[in-house]
Amino acid sequence: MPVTLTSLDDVKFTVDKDVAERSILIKNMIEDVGESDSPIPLPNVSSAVLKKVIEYCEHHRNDPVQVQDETDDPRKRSNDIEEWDMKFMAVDQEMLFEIILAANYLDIKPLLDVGCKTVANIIKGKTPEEIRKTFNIVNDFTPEEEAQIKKENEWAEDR
Amino acid sequence: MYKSPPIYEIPLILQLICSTLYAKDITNCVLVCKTWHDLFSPYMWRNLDDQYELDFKEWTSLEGGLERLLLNAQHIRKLALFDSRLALILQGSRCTHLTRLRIREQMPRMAANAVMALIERNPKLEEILLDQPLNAERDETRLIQTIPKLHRLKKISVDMLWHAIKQLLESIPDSVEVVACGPYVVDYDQEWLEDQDDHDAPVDGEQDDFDALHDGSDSHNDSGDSDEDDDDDSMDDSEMDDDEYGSDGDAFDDDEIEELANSMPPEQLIQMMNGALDEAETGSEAGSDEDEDMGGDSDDSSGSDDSDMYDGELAFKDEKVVEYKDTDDSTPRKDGKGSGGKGGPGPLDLSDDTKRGNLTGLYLDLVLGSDDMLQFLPMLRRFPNLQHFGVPHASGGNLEVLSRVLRRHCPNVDSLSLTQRWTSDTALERLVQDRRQLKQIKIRPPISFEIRTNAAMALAEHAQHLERIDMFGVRMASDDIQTILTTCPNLLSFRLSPYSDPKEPEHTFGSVVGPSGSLTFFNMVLTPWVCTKLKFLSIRLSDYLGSVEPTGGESGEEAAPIKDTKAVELTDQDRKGMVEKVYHQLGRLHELEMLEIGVFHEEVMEAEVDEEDAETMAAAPEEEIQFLPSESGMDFSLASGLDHLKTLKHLQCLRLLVNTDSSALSRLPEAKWIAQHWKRLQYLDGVSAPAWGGIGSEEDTVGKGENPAGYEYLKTKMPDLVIRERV
Repeated sequence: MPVTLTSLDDVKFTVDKDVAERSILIKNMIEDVGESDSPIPLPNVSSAVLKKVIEYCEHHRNDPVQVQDETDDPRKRSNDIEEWDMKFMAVDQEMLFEIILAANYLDIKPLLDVGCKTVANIIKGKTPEEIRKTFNIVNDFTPEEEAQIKKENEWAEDR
Repeated sequence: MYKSPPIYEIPLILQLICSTLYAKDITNCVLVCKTWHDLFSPYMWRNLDDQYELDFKEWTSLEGGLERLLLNAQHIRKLALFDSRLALILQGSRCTHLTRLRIREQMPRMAANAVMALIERNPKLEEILLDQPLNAERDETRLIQTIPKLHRLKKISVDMLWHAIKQLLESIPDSVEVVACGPYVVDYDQEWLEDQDDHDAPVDGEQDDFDALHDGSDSHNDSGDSDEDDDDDSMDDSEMDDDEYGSDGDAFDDDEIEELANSMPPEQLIQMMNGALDEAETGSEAGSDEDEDMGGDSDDSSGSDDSDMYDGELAFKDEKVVEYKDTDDSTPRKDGKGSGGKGGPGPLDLSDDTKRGNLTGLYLDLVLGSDDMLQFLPMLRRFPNLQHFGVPHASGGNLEVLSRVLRRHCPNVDSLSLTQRWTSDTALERLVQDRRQLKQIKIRPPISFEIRTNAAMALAEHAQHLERIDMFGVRMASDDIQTILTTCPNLLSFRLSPYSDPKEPEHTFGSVVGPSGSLTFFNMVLTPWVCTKLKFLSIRLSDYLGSVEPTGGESGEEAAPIKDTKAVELTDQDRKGMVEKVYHQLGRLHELEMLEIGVFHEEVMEAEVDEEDAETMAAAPEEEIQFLPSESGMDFSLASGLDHLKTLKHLQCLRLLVNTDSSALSRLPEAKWIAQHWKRLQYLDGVSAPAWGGIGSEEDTVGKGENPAGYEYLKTKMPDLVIRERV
């Protein structure tokens, strides 16, 4: 059975129910409301982003439910991103952030995870200055403040 | 003014990003701008785990180190203290959100008090790992009284005597999944995990973590719920009756410390705590005497059970086997207690609230005498879903009884861990036979142990289920090794080492371990291996060509000792053909990720005898076997058959043991071959140093040795490859 989703800018997308239900938010809404032809409004997601999200859900429609592993040890967290996902995430920064926000709002854990890994991979190995350049951030520390923080954080480096 | 992208302001998203960053990356993020400083700083403190091993001296030497530790204590989730005195600082801080606590060192008396207080103040603890024994029975009691109140506790590892372990097992909350008792367990597990880290990380298709979502926070509410703010849910003081065991030995009462922490500037608090530390150090010395008195009773009480059974080396003087009478499950006891008495197991309350259905792992790395065994056996009925069992040391007869009871009450046990000294090969055979199915067996005895054919055949009976056979400090006959590898199709890991410590250099392999520790070429090529799913293989090969009567692995006949047989005369061509077959056998392991291999050339030589030893030599063998490098014919060159290993596309780690001729791997053609076929290789360990460029890894010599071109090629083509030379 198809489900109709309406984006922030009032664009309608019709997708299969199993694709839509990759989103836990939508799945819960369908369960709460019951089967209905009424479109499901998604006022926090633009059509451009929703199109990308649907593309992801369609590709992963048959994936098993993700098992949570509660470690936050980077040594145990694989940063490998599947090839398709990596290509899917090869978008500009604004879109990347929008996809992550949409995944968070729609409660699509695998998409949120892959989005956050992508951001982490962008940060990894970069100096503070390189990070600033990458994310277009202005350094608002004074040189003294920066030196003080560096000194304070020496213990955490090279661990 | 820079406006942070909103994604970083959502705690869940920030946590997910930080969970894949290393500390160095997070410290770089902290330096980006003021907004990022505030957002990322807490994540620097989240995992003060094993890689930090907080040390008191290190922190006191840092300018403002202890102040910052106190100020950020509420951010800490995972904490490993190498120096437990830091617990004295943290016990009164806002460090109340720990999920994991590990104490590495022996705890002085006062520090043990502080550690107990820290545990009591952290009701979210999921793991408690105390590597060293608690000094005093009072601390053990305090811990045992606290454990039932930790409703999220999943794993506890402590080193205590049986009488305390028994109380612990009776008091664990239902959430507990693993109980590990004994001095070696933590390190053993850690080694296992480290190996997983080393070799599992880049595997494709593994489930990724989603660690932030388990808190039950509303993931699609932008605000999330920052658990930094929920200080109030630390354990209710009324639940913890401090008066019962609390502050009489402390310089500060917990409540006092909390009050101080909230009201006093950190530097003042630290000054006061330093005073407490001085007292603690003095007190611990005095306390140790006191503890000896206190602990003496406990030791005696425990030891007295066994004193008539063990000599000083834990060898049995007079084996007493328990006569265990099983009681009917339908007649539970009303008082809710386990048997506990020394007179026998007695009936046991098995109402639902006494069963611990979540407990899947129980490791008892300790000695159980017959009386202890009588107390322990009925307890097994509490743990119907046990899967992993670390077998205690007991007499062979008692182990056989244990094995039968385990089979009846814990039918799902499919993983055995044996880290104790063994008294009986038959007991091992029985333990293996009694499992309905055996998936994993890990053996690591403190003294090298030989698994004989009957026990090996018992293992092979589980061939269809076995996934891991990891044995350190263990030797097996060549025929038996081959039998396992030709009958276990689902093996993922087979690691067999004559050394208890997997990381121990094997300089003396040749002189210590005879042919029974290795798989001979001859055996290896007789039958194709079926273990083609293997990911980890650690094996010693020997080109000895004796022992030519294969048992076929079915008859269970004991193979004739190799030394007693005559070597087969082979031409060079025959030998070359056999080496090719060895490569071919290894090449069948397409899934292999880690290969640790030793290849030894074996020669039967006449023993050199001094005239002085002539008398003793009368009884000595006329021949002795020596293991020499460079003549086995398997030198990892393309000429000898390396190309058969091009199928190992998943290989990440190749470790070559001492005495293995590995110099060919450093030559340019072989280096090119490696870069072409082993694209995933991350570690190349044990290539002989002279081949790369001299002994050691001095920068001025590496790459300038016999084969610099090969080295340079690999470093250029595979910049991430870690090359470790054999010194």
